[in-house]
Amino acid sequence: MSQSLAKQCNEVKERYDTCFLKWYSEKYLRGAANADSNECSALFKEYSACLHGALKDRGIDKLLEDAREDNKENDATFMGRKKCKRGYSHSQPCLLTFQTHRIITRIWIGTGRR
Amino acid sequence: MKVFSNSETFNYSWEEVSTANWRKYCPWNDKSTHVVAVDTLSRHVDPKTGILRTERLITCQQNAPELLKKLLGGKEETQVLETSYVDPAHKTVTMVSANLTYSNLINVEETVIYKPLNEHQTQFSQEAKITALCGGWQRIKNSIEDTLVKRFRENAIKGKEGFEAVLEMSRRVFAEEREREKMMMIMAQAPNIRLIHAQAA
Repeated sequence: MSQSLAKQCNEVKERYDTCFLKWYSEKYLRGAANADSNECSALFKEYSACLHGALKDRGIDKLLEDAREDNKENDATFMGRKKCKRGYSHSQPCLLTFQTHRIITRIWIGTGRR
Repeated sequence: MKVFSNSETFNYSWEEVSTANWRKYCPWNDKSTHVVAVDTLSRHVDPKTGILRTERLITCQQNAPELLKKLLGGKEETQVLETSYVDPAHKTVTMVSANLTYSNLINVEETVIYKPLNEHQTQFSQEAKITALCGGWQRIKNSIEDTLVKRFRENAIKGKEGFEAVLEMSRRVFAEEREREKMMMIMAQAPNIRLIHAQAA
């Protein structure tokens, strides 16, 4: 498995990755997975707690917030909440509505400030 | 904005490819050594659609292109946020990656899709949109974008070779595991078989 960004998290990351891979191939792909929780949840919690500090120290947490904000449109498209064709080559209608929404937000913010 | 696109065929099933994809950057892959760390930030299954959404932080240690180094002083480590969506019903893996480092200067958004071609083959398609954001100076913008397109092209070749190695190893390891499980089953049943034989005798 690959390394963690934070050396101190390597051990728990390895255990989590192994657990996840087993769950993914043996349960998830076979349609036998539980959406709420699984056998790797506790390990993931431990791993996340370890990683949390490392991300903060490096200032990555702030960058992540921005990137997540920018990714919201993709979330809507690929989580199947939006009725537009999948795949980037057919995403034109989605892109249009997104841009219209952005322009409206900008105008709204603009008038608010004035 | 410049666009880089590429598509490849892997002679493995979608299930194999989507599983191996999680360990694409492991020691079995000796081609993508610029990836030094991969961390999972969040992961959940959507109860309605069954789609698995994962956020991973990819840390690369690749010298930034010369031009960027000159402009920015060149950071050693760069980070990418990869958000992936596995749709088991439609057998699709979609991965969207965006750069976290230098994001105020360049916007790189890469979309990768894995879809089955048939039971034994999977198609990989990749599209990267590269936009330099620095104001004015079209010539500088163009050369930054061109440099990054070139980098994508180089990494794409290495990426395919490296992933092929991971796929091959995964298949071997899974086969060994299945064999071991079969042996364990036989071993576990052995006393019963002996008992039945003894009773029959």
